[in-house]
Amino acid sequence: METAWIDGKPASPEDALRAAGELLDAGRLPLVTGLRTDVVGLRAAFSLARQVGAVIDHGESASLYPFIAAMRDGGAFLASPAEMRRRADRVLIVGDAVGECDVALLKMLAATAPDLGVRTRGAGRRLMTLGSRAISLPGNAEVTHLDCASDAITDVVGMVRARLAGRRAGEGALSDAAIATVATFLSEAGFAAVVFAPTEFGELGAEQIFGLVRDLNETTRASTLPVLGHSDAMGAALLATWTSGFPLRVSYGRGPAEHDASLHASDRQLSGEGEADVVVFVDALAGAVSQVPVFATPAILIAADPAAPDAARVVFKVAAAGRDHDGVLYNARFGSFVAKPAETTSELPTAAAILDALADQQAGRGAEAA
Amino acid sequence: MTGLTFRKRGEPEERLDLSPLVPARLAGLSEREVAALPVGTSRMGLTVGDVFEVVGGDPSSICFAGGSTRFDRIGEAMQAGGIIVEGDAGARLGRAMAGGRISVEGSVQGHAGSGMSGGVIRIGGDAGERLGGPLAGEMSGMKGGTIVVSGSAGPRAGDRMRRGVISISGNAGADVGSRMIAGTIVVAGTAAGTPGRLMKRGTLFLCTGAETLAPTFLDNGPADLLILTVMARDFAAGEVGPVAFEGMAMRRLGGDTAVLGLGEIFLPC
Repeated sequence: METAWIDGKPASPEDALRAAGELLDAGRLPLVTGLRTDVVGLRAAFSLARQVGAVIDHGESASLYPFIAAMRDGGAFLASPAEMRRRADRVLIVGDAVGECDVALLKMLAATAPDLGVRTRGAGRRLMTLGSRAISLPGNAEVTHLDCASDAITDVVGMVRARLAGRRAGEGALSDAAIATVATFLSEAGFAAVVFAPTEFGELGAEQIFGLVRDLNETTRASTLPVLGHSDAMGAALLATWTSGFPLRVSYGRGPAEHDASLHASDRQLSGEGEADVVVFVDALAGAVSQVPVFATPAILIAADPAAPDAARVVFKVAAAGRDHDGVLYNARFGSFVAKPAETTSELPTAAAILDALADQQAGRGAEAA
Repeated sequence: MTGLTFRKRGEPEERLDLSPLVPARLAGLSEREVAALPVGTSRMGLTVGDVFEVVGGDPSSICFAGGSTRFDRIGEAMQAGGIIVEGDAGARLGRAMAGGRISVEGSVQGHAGSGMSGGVIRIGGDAGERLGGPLAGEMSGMKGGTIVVSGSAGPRAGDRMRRGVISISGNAGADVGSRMIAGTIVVAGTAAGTPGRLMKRGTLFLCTGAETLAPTFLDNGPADLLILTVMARDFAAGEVGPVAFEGMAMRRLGGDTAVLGLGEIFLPC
């Protein structure tokens, strides 16, 4: 079975590693991205980035950054779905994207009732949706829908905050009565959960919603359940934070980790606007839809299912984490990392093995050069 | 005595960190020592001498003869003196500067004047995103000083601004004055997005109007206030220069009531 290609032609893994090393040597600023792999693969990717002085970022970090930026700038009350399932007596579902991203979460919340906490145990659960379309949910939960265009929701949440604080607001997308309904729904909760997809509202919109929940905690209990489109990007951001001190978008060009949310973003670097002149792209995750771009610069592709042998200058076919080999992956429902056993056996190397081999090879070359 | 000149040898292949090239850090260094200062941001280890021809002179007055959008962090933490850029500049121009003057003939990229507390920045072309704004995780943006932009500004100009003045002769990108804490922003053109989103205090003059206004800004009606005349005269006599709202009939809106609600936006009547 062929597992490596150079310029679209089959090659031995050793020759492919050598060719990949030559590409990295020739580059001024490598980019290590994609990062669709498990914890071991992510660690190996960061080791390689440090070794070769690369910029490193997840390929889908743009979908995560409205959440990260709002959280680190203003703070956030965050809860796991399992905790909200047992505690929340009121659930406010904000926007349209949640219904598209995580219907299972909504069904779970609709089908269960709180059984923890003095204020909420046995109280039953009421749900309210604020968006442009109602969501059909199973179970006996009481669901109220308020119709509101997605792009007006940040304003509407601001109006709710103003009402809760006793300040006035002008005319918006919802009537005063509707704003009062939302404010009462939340302020009378024993424990309110606000479910939303930060990407739908951007950084300021997400900060507005986090601010609403912060305001609610002055008088009652509340938390948010942000729904993220790419849970592997969240895993990568957590690992990046405990490894480098920053949530992705890091450069090791000068040695120490340097963070810049704009300059070191993978989409900027991959678009050709950036400074990266060689790319290492990792796409080796079970169940993830492949998003490998057309590369504008020489590239090394480490993929479980490479689209074509000439998808990059050097291509490695590897095992998919959580499918072909055991992996530890971020699980949004659990709110942390979870071990996922392999579904099948595979002779293919892991992405981590290829990344480690590349890092070792480059370290050896560096020692020889010295 | 003429100033110290850094003449660009060619377009750099990587971003450069030019934060060492400020008057206080160059004082007392020989040309050779200046040429050996590291400015590269990749493993190539570029120094000043690789990128610039250094023509000696008084380091309190610095000139970059030829600019680039990859010239980052010019004038960072500058406390006194002057810097002129004959061309464009990259990101974080005048970041955290406390005094002195920076003048750029061309356009600059994001975070110009980020967290500055004093001094003057003049930008002949356009400014990128988050003019005067904080870097990720910082609690406040611009804390003092003056920024004058002859062209337009990118999104989120004046984000989390605490003190000082920003004047934009062209248009403002989305959400100018977002999360403002205090300070003054004057926009002669139009303001895109939702100006003043989450602002607590501070003043926005939007002299050609705004694309949208959040319902958490309340119209207080026409504001024929003496202070506007005084401010316009003071700006005209100072670093900012003549402002578009001088003599203009304005109305005042207060907000953002989603947060504290003590900010104000002035619009033409």
